[in-house]
Order: sequence, then structure tokens, then C-alpha cells
Amino acid sequence: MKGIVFTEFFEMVEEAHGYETVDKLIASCNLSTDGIYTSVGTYPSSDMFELVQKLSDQSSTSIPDLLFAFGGHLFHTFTQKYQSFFQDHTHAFDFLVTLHDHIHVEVKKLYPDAELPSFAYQRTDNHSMEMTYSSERKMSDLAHGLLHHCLGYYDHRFSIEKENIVEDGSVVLFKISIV
Amino acid sequence: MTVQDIKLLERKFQREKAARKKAEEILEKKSLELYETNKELQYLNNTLKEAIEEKNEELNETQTKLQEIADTVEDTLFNMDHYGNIIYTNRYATHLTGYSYDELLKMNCIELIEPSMQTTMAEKLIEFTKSDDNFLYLEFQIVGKNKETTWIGQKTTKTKLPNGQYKYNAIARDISQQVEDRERLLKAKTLLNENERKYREIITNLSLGICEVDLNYNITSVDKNFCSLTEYSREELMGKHAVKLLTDGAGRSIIEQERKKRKKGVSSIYTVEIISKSKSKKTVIISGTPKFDENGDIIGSIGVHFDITDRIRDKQQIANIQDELHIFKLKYESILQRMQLGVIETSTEGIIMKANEYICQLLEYDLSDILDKSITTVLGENLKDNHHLSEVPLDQQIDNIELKIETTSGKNKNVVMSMAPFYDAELNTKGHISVLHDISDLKKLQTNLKEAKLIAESAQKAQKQFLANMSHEMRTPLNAIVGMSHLLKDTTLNTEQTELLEVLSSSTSILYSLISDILDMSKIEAGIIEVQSKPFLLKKLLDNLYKTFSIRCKEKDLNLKLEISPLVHDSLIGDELLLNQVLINLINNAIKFTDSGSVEIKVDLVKNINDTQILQFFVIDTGCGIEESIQENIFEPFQQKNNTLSTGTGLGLTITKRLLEILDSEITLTSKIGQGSTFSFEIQLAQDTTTTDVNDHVDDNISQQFDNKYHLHF
Repeated sequence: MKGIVFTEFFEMVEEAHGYETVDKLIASCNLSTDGIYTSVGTYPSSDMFELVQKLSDQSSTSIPDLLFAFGGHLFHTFTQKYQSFFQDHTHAFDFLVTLHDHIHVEVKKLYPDAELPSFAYQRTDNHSMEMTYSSERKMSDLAHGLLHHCLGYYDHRFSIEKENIVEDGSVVLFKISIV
Repeated sequence: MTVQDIKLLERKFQREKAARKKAEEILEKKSLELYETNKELQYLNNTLKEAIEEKNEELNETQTKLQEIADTVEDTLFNMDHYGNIIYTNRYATHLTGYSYDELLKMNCIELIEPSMQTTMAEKLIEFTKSDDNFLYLEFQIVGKNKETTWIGQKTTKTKLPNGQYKYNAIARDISQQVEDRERLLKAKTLLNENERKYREIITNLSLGICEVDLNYNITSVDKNFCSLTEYSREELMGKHAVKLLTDGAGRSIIEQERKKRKKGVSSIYTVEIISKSKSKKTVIISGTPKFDENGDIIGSIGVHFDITDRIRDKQQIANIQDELHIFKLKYESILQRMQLGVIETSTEGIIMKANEYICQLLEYDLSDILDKSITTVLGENLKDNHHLSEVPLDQQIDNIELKIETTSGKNKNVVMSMAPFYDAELNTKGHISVLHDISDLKKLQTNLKEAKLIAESAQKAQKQFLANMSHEMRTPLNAIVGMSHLLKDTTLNTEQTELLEVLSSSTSILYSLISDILDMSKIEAGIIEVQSKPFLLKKLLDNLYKTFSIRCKEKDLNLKLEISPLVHDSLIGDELLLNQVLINLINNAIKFTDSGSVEIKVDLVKNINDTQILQFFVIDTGCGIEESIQENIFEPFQQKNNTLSTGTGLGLTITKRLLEILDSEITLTSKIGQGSTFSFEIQLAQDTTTTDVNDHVDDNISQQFDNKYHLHF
């Protein structure tokens, strides 16, 4: 897992609860790096799962809620850092369909070892689209948070229905409707 | 700030520092990687440059080679830009167009095209640019610098340049010859089709049967006429081996000939016999023509069949008639020339057109003397009494008029002349044929014959007179001797005298008999005996004979028998005298040569023919018989049974035979030595249907017999 996910995760926690919580979280986990992450490095996913689990325990917030919130944080960071990917579009669907075939391809060029989820799309018109999420890391809630804030970013009034296609959450269908 | 806070910050700082170091490590590693990659890239760049230079050189070489090839080919190669401007062309283009290379490079390709075609060609090029096709073939005429037009076949391909424009590569070839050939071929094809249509029409009207065959002579197409010729339906004919329609020999020979002709691709004509479905033979002229496909390869033959059966038959008949006529003419001419008749052919005006050799000989003329002269002139000159000819109209027929003419040398000739008109096909008189027969010799012969007849007649008269005289002259003294002898017997004579008188009497009797026989023979030889045909009674005749000879038989102690078949008619018509004499001679003979036994006279009916009866007479004796060797000659004069003349002249049987010959009969003899002889003959006598009184003259005649012998009277 890319280092940016860890650094942004700690950033979000520090912003919300202060460095003390971050320090406490690091101390409570048995992390492979002793809590030292750089955005250009690559680290085991298990570190992230442990951090999320421990934070959920300590903050009495569920893991899905935690991941959904982290999706929102991440999207915000992306819009800051990678402005150009977003500014070419005016409709969220137009951006979303570039995700798998365009943005992820560029990501792979920069980080050949990046492990990215894959998306399949079925766009009926400008008002409804179905996206299928597939990833062994089963972090569809993170994707949900990202999607939610993406639609918000393009000023759509919308609703998202989430449905597990595979029980364990490795394949998930998002039904997006724009009013 | 609490200690805790400080420691927290410290941990944060430591973590940040460690993270920074980690990041530096990673970045340093990445930079190194980047450096290495850059170095590699630089190396690659350098080698690429070299490679490009090398390839460029190669490319230049290839281009030079291609240029050379392009310049030597007999096709025009050129490149055009997006707007059709010529940007490259090979050397041949200058040859084709007459323009120099520099001139061509300033031209647009459309400018070269013949003005009337320019618009169409330009449109086609634009269309090609827009289309997905990468190949275009066009044919058009170009106008060269010297204003000469040339037909061009042009292949064009296009290449898209990075700026979106196209570049065109074209190969143009001079196809004037091909176009010309194509046009000529098209014209020829049109003409051919037209001709074919025309000939088919003619053929249909001419009742020519058409049959097409493939290379194996299997029928591939037939027309109606061919069907009616062969009497087969189209379905029956299709696929059939055409040669099977011909007579055996003809088929083989045609295949042989057709094979040779096909090789040469020429037509041929055969006259053959074909066998129709009903097995009748038809004589047909076949004109066989090889059949070609579009490539000019022979794919079979087309046979045109013309039925000449009727014509041949007619021709044959005419030829036969002509032959006959010719033979007839030859025969006729040869007869005319050689026969002993003069023939003259004259025109309606009487001008001599033809004459045979004989007439020339007859008239003692040369043929050239009389040709083209009038027949009356020619004959008239020779006619003494020529009134016949001048009086007869020449358009009529003259039958056998006799003319006397004098030949050029003055000989008199008798001729018979006939003349008849002859006609042409429309029955108009075309002239006359005159036939002259020289009868001068005939006339002479006629005169001679008349003279000869007179001589013969007088000679016969003389002979008759002589014989009459002789019989009278000889018999008178003999009768006197006989009479005197009888008178002498009545006188008183001594024995010696009586003996002498007996000798005298018998000698006289022999002499009388001899004279009678000789006279009879003479008469027969002279041919002056005439057969009488008068009614007589056969029974009476035979009774008289019986009476006459019974005395002599009694003297010799012989038994005389007479047997007449009841079927024999009594009243008959014939020569009683001759019959009587024949029987007397035979009976006399029988008695003479029979010393004991019997003499039998027998008459049988052989058959009735209408009113006549054929009777067979037998005189049978039991005498000494006649040797076989003598039997053949017994009827010849002076032949006798015992070869002595002592008992007669030896003329008896000869006379009998001759007399029977006069009566149209023949004598037959069967005899065996020591057993006797049988003489027989058949004679045909008419029945006398009229009831007449018995004619007594026979009896009288017979009663007048002297020494039982009958003598002929004139």
C-alpha cells in the first residue's frame, strides 16, 4: 500500500484529534515501520488494517464510518494535489469513467508496484450509472467515501446505493442516481 | 508546555526525521535509477542516430537503384501531390508525352489528359481521395506535346502524409495497341453476332440442320431442322455421340478427318449417309466448323447438315436417263450410219440437215454436196419421173412411194421412200426424216425369180408328161404280153410249151411289178403326188384288202386275220388311195416273208382330237424276222431282207416309208429273227360327219389291182 495512504491517514487523525491520538495509535499498534511512513514509500496493507481497527476501538467509531470519512479526506487531498484530473470535467460520471482506464493507468506508470482496485461501469445516461468495485483489500467503504465527495465536488444532488455482490465485500456494486 | 508535551513533540520530530531520511533514501535510490536510465537512454540515442544514418544511406542506395529501374522501365512512373501536381516522374514519361522532365514537373496531371475527358478523370481522382480504397485504375487519352493522343492505362495508389494530405504514386502504360485491338475485337464481335444471326436465319430458311458437338463428339446443341432430319427429339439427341448417327464407315472417316481439321482450325465439308430413327438412310452434306471459346481455344465443332437425298436420287435418275439417251443416240446413230437404208433429215423448209453414208453412196455424192440443199433439188436432179415427190406436201407423211432415180454416174436405181415429220418438245414440227431403200437388187431378183418359176413349171410339166407317157407307153406292150400269155394258155400246149409259158408269165409279172415300183418311186421323187382329202369307209377298204389277200394266204397256208377296234370311226376323210397302197405293200411284204403262221392286220384308236381320230395300223407277221443290223437300213432304196433282188425291186418299203411321209406319218418296225416282224404307223383322219353313200370307187380301184398291187394314178 502506497505511503500516501498512511501519511494522509495520520494527517486526518491529527487534524481531527491532535497528534496525541496519532502517537497513542502508533504506540498501540505493532507496526512494521514503528509508525514511520513517507508518501513515496510502499508499506504492508496489514499495517493500515491494524491502524484502522485500533482507531475504531479507541474512538468508538465503526470501521465503515472511519473508512467512509477517510475517503472524504483523501478526495479532498486529491483535488488539491491533482487538480488537472478534475478540472477537465463538469459531470461526475465523465470523471468517474476516466478513473479506471486513464487515472489508474497513469498511477501505474508512476508507481509500478501500486495495487489498485478495478472498476467496471454501466452508464445509462447522465442521471444513472452503475459502478462495480473489485479489490482483494475489501475497502469499498473507502471507495464509497471517495464517490460521495466526488459527486458533491461536481455539485450534483445524488443518491448512492451500495450492494455487496460477493459476501466478503471484495466485489461491490454502487448504483448512482443524479436528480 | 508539559514534559509530556515535549516528549510527544520529540517523538513526532523523531518520526518525521526518520520519515524524511527514509524518503531521502528512497529518492536517492530513485535518482540513481534515473541516472542509470538516463545514461542508458543516452547510449541508445547515440546508437539510434548511427542506425538512422546507416538506414538513410541504405535508403538512398535503394532509391538510386529504384530510380534507375524506374527510368529504364517502359512504363511511366510518377508521383503527384495532393492537388495532382507532378512532383516526380521517370524518364519514360518524357518519351511518352514529349515534354521535358522540367516541363512535366511544372504540370498538373489533369493538363495532360485529353480535354473532353479531363472533368471525368478529375472527378474520379477526387472520389478516390475520399474513398477508403488504396488502388485506382483509369483508362484515358493523353495529349502529348506534339498533339498526338495516346491511350493510357493508369494505376494509382495513395499515401497519407503526416499533414493529412495525400501523395499519389502512379504507373501509366501506353495501351493504345490494346485499346485498338479491343475496339477491333468489339467491332468484329458485333459483326460476327450480326452475321451469325443472319446465317442462322438463312440456315433455318434453307432447312439446314445444325448440330454442335463437344471435343468428344457428344451433341451439345441441335436445332429444329436437325431434329426433323434425324427424326429424333432434342432430348434424345442431347449428349448422344454424334457419330452414332452415321453409317459405320462414314463415322470413322469423319472423326479422323475432323481431328486433323480441328488441329488446323479450318472448316471441312463431307458427304455422308446418316441413319435416321426409322433406320432410313439419308445422304447429307456436312460442313464442319471448329467452335472456339473466348480465349480462342477449340471447344468442339458446329456441323451444318444439308439433306441431299432427294437431289441425289433425282440426279441419279437424270443421269440414268441421260445415259440411256446417250446409248440410244449412239445406237441410233450407228444404226443410221450402217444400215442399208438411206436416211435424210430435213428442216421444215426441206433443207437437208443430216444424211447418212448410205444415201451418199446411193446417190454417189459427198455428204458436203448435199448438206444445206433442198431435198427436192437433190432428189429431183436424180428423178426421171419425179411427179410423186413434187406433188406431195412436205408437212405430211409419205408411206412407201417407189421412185426411179438415176445416180450421178448414170446408173438407174429403184428406191422406196418414206417420209415422216418429227417434233420438238412442244410438238411443233421440227423437220422430216426420209428413209430411202434401194430396191434395185430386189427388183432384179424378182425378175429372175419369175423366170425361174416359169422354167420350173415347164420342167415339171414335162416330167409329168414323161411319166404319164412312160406308164402308158410301157404298160401297153406289157398288157399286150400279159393278155397274149393268157390267150396262149387257152390253146393246146404240150408240157414243155406250158412250162415255157409259165416262165414267160411269171417274168412278165416281175417286169410289171418292177416297172410299177420304179414309176412310183419316180413319181414320189418328182414330188408330184398330191394328197387327196375325200370321204371313205375304212371298214370297206380293209374288208377288200382282206378278201384280196386271203386267197394268197390260203395258197401259202397262212392264217390272215383282220381286227378293227370298235372305237374306230367308219366314215373318215383322207387319202384312201395312199393308205390302201401303204397297207397293200406291207401285207404283201408280210406274206412274202412268212412261210407259216399268220399275217394280222390290226387297227386301234390312239385318241380322238375334236373331229379327228388318230389311228394306229399294225401289220404283224410270224415270218423269218429281220436282223437288227438291217432294221435301220431296211427303208432305204434297194435294201432287202436277204440282200437279193430275186423277189422284187427292193423299193417296196422305201415307197411305203415315203408315202407315209407324204401323209405326215412315220413307219416303225419291231422284229426278232425267227419270230416275225411288226410294221406300224399312226395316221390322223378326219371323221366324216355328213352321211354320205358309200363310195364305190375304192372298191373299183382295188378290184383293178393287178397281182394284188395298187398303182398310183395321176
